Order: sequence, then C-alpha cells, then structure tokens
Amino acid sequence: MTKLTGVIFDIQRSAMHDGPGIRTTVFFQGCPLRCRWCHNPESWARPWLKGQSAPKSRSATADEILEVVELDRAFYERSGGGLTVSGGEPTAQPEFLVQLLTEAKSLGFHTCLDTTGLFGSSLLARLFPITDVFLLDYKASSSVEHQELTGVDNRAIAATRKRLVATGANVILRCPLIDGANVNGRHLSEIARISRQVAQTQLLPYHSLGRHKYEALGIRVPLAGVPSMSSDRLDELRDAIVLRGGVRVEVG
Amino acid sequence: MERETRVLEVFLPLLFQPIQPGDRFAGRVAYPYVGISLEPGGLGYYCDVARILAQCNHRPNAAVQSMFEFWKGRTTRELIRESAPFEASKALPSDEWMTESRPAFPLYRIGGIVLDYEKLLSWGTAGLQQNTEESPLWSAPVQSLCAILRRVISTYVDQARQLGSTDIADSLLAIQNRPPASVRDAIQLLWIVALSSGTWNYGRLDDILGPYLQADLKDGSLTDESATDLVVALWDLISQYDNKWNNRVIVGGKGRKNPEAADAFARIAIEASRRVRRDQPQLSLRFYGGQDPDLLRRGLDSIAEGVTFPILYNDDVYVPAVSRAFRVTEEEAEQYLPYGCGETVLSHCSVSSPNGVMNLPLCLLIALFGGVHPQTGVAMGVMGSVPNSLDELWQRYCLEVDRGMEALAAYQRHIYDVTGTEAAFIVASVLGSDCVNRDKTLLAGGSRYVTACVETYGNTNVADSFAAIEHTRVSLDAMREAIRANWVGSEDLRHSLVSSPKYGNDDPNGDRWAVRVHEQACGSANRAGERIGWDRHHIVIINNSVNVLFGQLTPATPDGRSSGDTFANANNPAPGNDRNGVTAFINSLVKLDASLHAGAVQNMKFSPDLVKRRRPLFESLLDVYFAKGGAQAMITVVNRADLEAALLEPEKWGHLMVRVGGFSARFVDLAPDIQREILERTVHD
Repeated sequence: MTKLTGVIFDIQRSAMHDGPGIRTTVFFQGCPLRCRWCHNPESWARPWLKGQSAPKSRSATADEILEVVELDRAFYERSGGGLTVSGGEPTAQPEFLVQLLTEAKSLGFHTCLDTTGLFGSSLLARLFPITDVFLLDYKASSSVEHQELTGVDNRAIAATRKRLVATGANVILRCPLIDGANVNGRHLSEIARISRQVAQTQLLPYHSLGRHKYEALGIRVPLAGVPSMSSDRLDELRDAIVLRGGVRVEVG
Repeated sequence: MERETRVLEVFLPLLFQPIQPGDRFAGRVAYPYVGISLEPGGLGYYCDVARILAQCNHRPNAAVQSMFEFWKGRTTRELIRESAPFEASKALPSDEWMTESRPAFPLYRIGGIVLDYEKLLSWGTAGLQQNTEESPLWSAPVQSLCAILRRVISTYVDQARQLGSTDIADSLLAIQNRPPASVRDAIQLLWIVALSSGTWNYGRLDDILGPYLQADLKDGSLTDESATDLVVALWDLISQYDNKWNNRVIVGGKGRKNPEAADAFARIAIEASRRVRRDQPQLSLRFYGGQDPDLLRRGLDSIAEGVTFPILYNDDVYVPAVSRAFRVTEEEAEQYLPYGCGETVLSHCSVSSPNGVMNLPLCLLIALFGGVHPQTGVAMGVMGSVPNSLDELWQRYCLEVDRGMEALAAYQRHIYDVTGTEAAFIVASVLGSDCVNRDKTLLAGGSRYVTACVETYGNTNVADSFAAIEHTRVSLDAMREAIRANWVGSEDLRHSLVSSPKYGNDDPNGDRWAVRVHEQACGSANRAGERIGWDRHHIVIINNSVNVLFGQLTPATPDGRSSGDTFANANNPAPGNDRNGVTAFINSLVKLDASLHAGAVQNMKFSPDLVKRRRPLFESLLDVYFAKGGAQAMITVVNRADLEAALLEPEKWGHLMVRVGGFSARFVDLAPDIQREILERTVHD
C-alpha cells in the first residue's frame, strides 16, 4: 500500500467527548461547510486547493498518527475508547482517511468518524467496514435553512444519513443547537424522529469561545452577539425533544 | 531514664487538657512550654522560647529569665547543633530553611513512629507492666509510666462525672487497669496513649479496632449509626490535635490480620470523613486486587463529593516497592504505613523521619555558577570553574546533590545519636516491636530498622531545566547571564526555554530527564546512607507548600521559571506544563520508579463533571494509572470556576477543600501564593 500523507491541524489526547470512552482525536484540515457557529474556522482552508493556505496545519502519515494513538492504548481498552477522526471534514481527504482507519482497525483500535455526512455512497461503502461509530452531525432540517446556516444544502448529507440508518451502522447523532439560528419546533421534532433511528443523540450547546479565532483570521464573527447556551436552556431543549418522542437523547 | 520518668510525672498531667462539653472521649492536649517530645513540642527535651516570649509579651520576668538560662545549651536541639560533625556542619551551616536561600537544611524531629496498638489494646496498662517486669531496663520506667497514666485517667474520670458524661467516665474506669472490651473503650485507651507518646500518626486503625467494632455490632451494643458517631467523635479530637501534615489513619490493604472486621471499620471511617469534611485526619485507603471493591468504591464516592479523602494507595505496586526500597520481605513490606505528607514507615518496627530538606533547583544553579549562589555570590557548593557543556553541568549538579545528601545523612545519624542518648521515649519504645526484647531504647539499638529520608523539592524544575538546555542548545554563558538578570533582556531565550519539552506530556525528551533526575536523587540518598552504614536512607518527593516557599527563595532557573516563582508540586509537572491531556500526564507520572524512594505524592485535580457525570471515564483513568504502576493518588475534585469564586468571596466558600500537596486544607485558609499555585494546576475534565 502506498503510504499517503494527510493534512491535519491537531492531535488531541484524552478526548472524552468525541465518542465512547477515552479517545485520541485527530483533526483533519479542510472543510467544505461554513457553519455559522463553527468554533474551528482555522480548519476550513484546504491547502491542497489553489489559493488556500492553512499555516497551522501539518502533513502526517497514518503511521505517524497511529504512533501517538498507540500511547494511550491501555486507556482505550479499559474505557471502550479509541481513535476519533474529526475535522474539518475528514472525508475531504478520502483516500488518506480510508488508509488511516484501515490501519487503525488492523492495529485493533476502536474507530469513530466525526463527519458532516457530505460525501457520496461509494466512499460510505468503503468507510462502513472500518468505522465502528459514526458521529454524524445534524444541523438543520430544511434545505433552505441548511444552505443558509452551513453554506451547503442538505441533500447529500440526508442521503448519507439515510444510508447509514438503513445499513444498521452505529450512529451517534450530534446536534449543535443555536438559539436564533437553528432552534425551532420543526427542527426539534425532526431530531426527535431521527433519534429513534440511531444509537444515541447528543445535543451540543453553542458556545462563543471561537470568537477570537475569527478575529485572528480576519473573518467577520458570524454570530456576534449570540451568547453561549446555558445548561438550563439545553436541558429545556432536551425535554422538548423528549416530549416530541425523542429517545436516548443526551446533553453533550 | 530516671530523668525522663520524672519529667513525665510533671509533663503528662500538664499536657492533658479538660474534657469539653460535647466530647465523646477524654483527650485534648496543649503542649507545655517545656518538656519532652518526639516532634509535636520539639525534638527531645525542648524549651519553646518563642511561644513563652509571646505569652509574656516579650517581657520575661526573673523566673522566666532564669528558666531560659537553665535551658540554654541543654535542649536536645541545641546539643545536636553544637556537637554536629564538622563536615556536615560546614555543608549545613544554617537551620533557617524558611528564610534563607541554601541548597540543604537539617530538620529537628522524629516524625515517623507508629505505635503497636494491637499490643497495647490486648494488654492494657496492667499487661504492659506484667510484660516488662522481667526487664532490667524497662520494669521501673513502665511502672512509673502506668502510674502516671492512671492518675491522668483518674483526673479525667472526675471531670467526666462533673460534666455528667457517664459514658466517658465508664470507659476510663474500664481501661484504667484492664484491657478494653469494647470499641469505645479501645478508642479511649488508644487515644490517651497516642497523645502521651508524642506520635501523631495512628496506623491501621481498621485492623486494630475492627474486631472490637465487629463484636459490639454483633452483640447489639452498637449500630452502624452509633459506631459512626463514635468514629466521628474520634475524628473531631484528631482534628483538635491539629496537625494537618500528619494525623494519618490507614484503612484497607494487604497483610491485615482481621480483614473482614477491618473492612467494617474502614467503611465507617470513610463515612466519618465524608461527614466531618475537615482537613484531618488524613484518611488513607490502601487497596489491592483481592480486596472487597466496595471499599474503593466508597472511597471514590467520598472523593467525588470534594472531600479529598481518602488518599489512595495501590498495594499491588506499593508493597513490592517498599520491599525493594527498604530491603525487607514482602510480608514485612505489607506493614508499610504512609505517614506525614506521604513518607513511608514500617509499622511499629522502624524509626523514620524526614530530617532534611533539599532545594534541587538551587543545587543546579550553584553547579551552573561554579559553587556560588547566583544572586549573593556566596560560596555554598563544590567550588570550581563554571561548567560549559551540558555534560559538565550534569556532573557538577550530581556533585552538589551528593554533597547535600552526604551532609544530611551524617547529620541525621547525629540527630538520632544525640537524641537517643538524651531520651528513651518510654511510651514509643515499649510500644515498639523490639525495644523490650532487646532491652534497649528506641534510638539506641531498640528499633529493628532505623531509616531516614530527605525531602527534595523542585525535582521537576531541574528535569525541565536540563531538557530545555538540551533542546535549545543555549550556551551556558548566555544562560548564566539571563538568570542573573532574571530574563530581562533575554525574553526570546526564555520563550524558547519555556516552549521546550517538559515533563508531564508523555514526551520522551521531557520525561527522560525527569527519570534521570529522579534516579540520581534516589541513588544519591542511598549512597549517602551507605557511607554512614545505613542501608535505608531515601528521598521523599512530597509536598507541604515548601515548593512555594523554596520557589520564593530561588533565582530564575533554566526551565524558564522566573526568580521567586513556585516550584512544581512533588512529582507533578510544573503548573500548567502538562498540556497534552490527562492520559499523557499519567503516562509520564508512572515513568518514575516508585521502588527507589520512601514515598512520593501525586496530586490530581479533576472536574466534578468528569467525576460525577462521567464516572466510568474517571474510574478508567485511575484503573489504568494504577495498573501501569501508579502507587499513590491524592485527588481534588474541583472546578476552576469555584476556586476563582472562592478567591473573590471567601466567606461563601469555607467548605471548599483542596489537596495542597502532602496535606489538605480549606482553600480559603491558604496564603495567596499557595492559592495561586493551586489555581494554576491543570484541572482534568
């Protein structure tokens, strides 16, 4: 197998919110979406495209990444954790992603893929056997809203979700909730409906910690003035989703 | 011995203070201004001049003056200093470790003795007399001691009756001659004798008191609830005795004679600590693979509530480590006891004490500056030309450490010799394992094992300093200049030193130096012991906020630390330097061999969210830590936000307990610089 090189912007050990157990999360550089609440705007640029640069990213081989992942093997084994690939959008570097996950599986690591779902069915077919858990984002229910809030429409994303559900993949639905952006009755009802099809649904409260990163990158802060969501408000939204029939819904 | 007996006749009745309304046991103390002690009043024969002067507003009358005259040159401490061996004295010219900037200082105390309470409780005072009556050395002093104790008890009986505390009076009468028959009586006898002895670490109370408790529960004279109340009452008195650096109570672990009964007591002890929520006693839970997991579970529940107790000890690692470090069998090692801030002693058959403090970063600076203090220029090390390479610096640093260790070991032996000539420490001797059989006193051949240890501080800063010099390849001349100027004009150099590999991140380039510094210090202490004929002389890597104090007295160090800044806490990474997550922190910690020293403490700070809401993850972290060779853990469960709020509104945060190092404290009671150091430590969440 040719050793590929990927572009990543961080490796974070002791991750405890990126799938089951204690994990090491690798953040891939590059994302086609522009979610208005994104707290990692530095992950957007795809330096392999003309005119884009990501000064804080670095290239790495799967072996180099897995050498770091290996350091915490005992913690994964005890806690049911492993490797999480996040981003950016990992599927923006499909060949490298497949190689990394394949090698991780061959070394016996549990794998999670944190993804927006914006990729095609042929890639999904390749990912399916090498991904133990899909952490699948669910951001807006209507196509128009999705376009407005993330910069892309939701057709391909919804198709991925449906395929995952249909094939019985282990899916944890991750729902960022932002008052004044995507919180509305229809969306909560949709979360409730989909929650019944997936293993677990996690509600992620908006936090404004990424603001300074926008300023540093010289990008206008998209949700200026929107405060971080309080834990009381998040509980309220969870209750509303449960009232609408949601199951296995947790605050993240 | 005659002198000591006569002193005790006056001293013990003065030591014991009246029962207070609400007490469930007799036994409060206030240390007399002069007397004899192992540690609490002073070492050996002491005269507490500072306290006396404060008491008389610094205007001593003629009687007090003549008392001072009498004691001048007669206290054990003065005798030690005056007759100290020349070489040791030269290397340790000062005792002012709290105010002077020097690499090493002696301390005057015997801090690590735990009595054989099992023997005491099975014999009672009468049995103590019977079992020593054949001994030419011990027969008379034990007779006198028991007579004094009975007088103390009689006085307390009268007080208890006056207060209407019949339960106290009944217990006292029950133990005046006979061995105790109930847990209540057992605690009463144990407590009075512990206070009489000048020790303040109590050993395996679960194994000692468990059988009494079990019998009382079985015959219905106690319930779990009323037994917990009794233990809470003992905890209250321990707390009154007030030494948050000691007051250790141990439960759980290998080698208990009555594990089932002991478990019952241990559960109650954990519950009592959860209820009293004080910084004392320092309840410590030993555990191992074969132990009822319920004990550790309860311990973790208590920790999760922010209690800071129990402190955790992993016997599967600790017992073999003690066996190797102390050169004893594993069976003997099973009777190890953590005391004080985290040192180790073998229960009632060894003498141990931390009798020296070493400032390792200052050793490094003195090495770097060719034997002189970088700020004052005073010669206080091995003199020579300044080193110019990393290797040379390492060699010079090792020489400085060796010099301090050798002086401290020699001084320590001298302390034991002089103190042993001066005092028999009758209670501690006859309630040790071997003094009576050997017909010798504790420090004059009576103790099976004589051990001692040196507290080292700033180990991590030294390791990070070497790693930073290696990484940046800075010239040592530039380093000296920058340190003299406390980084002024060398900000870029400082920045690159600060961003060099640091211990605590599972980074081989940082951790390799931590291991090297650790092994050098451990080995140096061992060798220094061997030079004077001891094979159990160790370092301890504990903390009691001396990391803050020594930091204040130490110039800038090559790890990028500024002059006056705090040192890292014990074995931990320097505050804020563990930036690679808790798993990396744990992987780094376990690289330091636990079998080379006499105790090291690991402080860990976790968020309530992790410990409560995601408990399985928290337990996974601890399990892996212990499975990988983690010997000990002291855990504080706290939010950074809570600590910050407590700084702003201390009156609302009196309940907030934190682990400082070798002891716990109410956060709001701590000095601002110590509060700051705790705030800077990483919270894992």
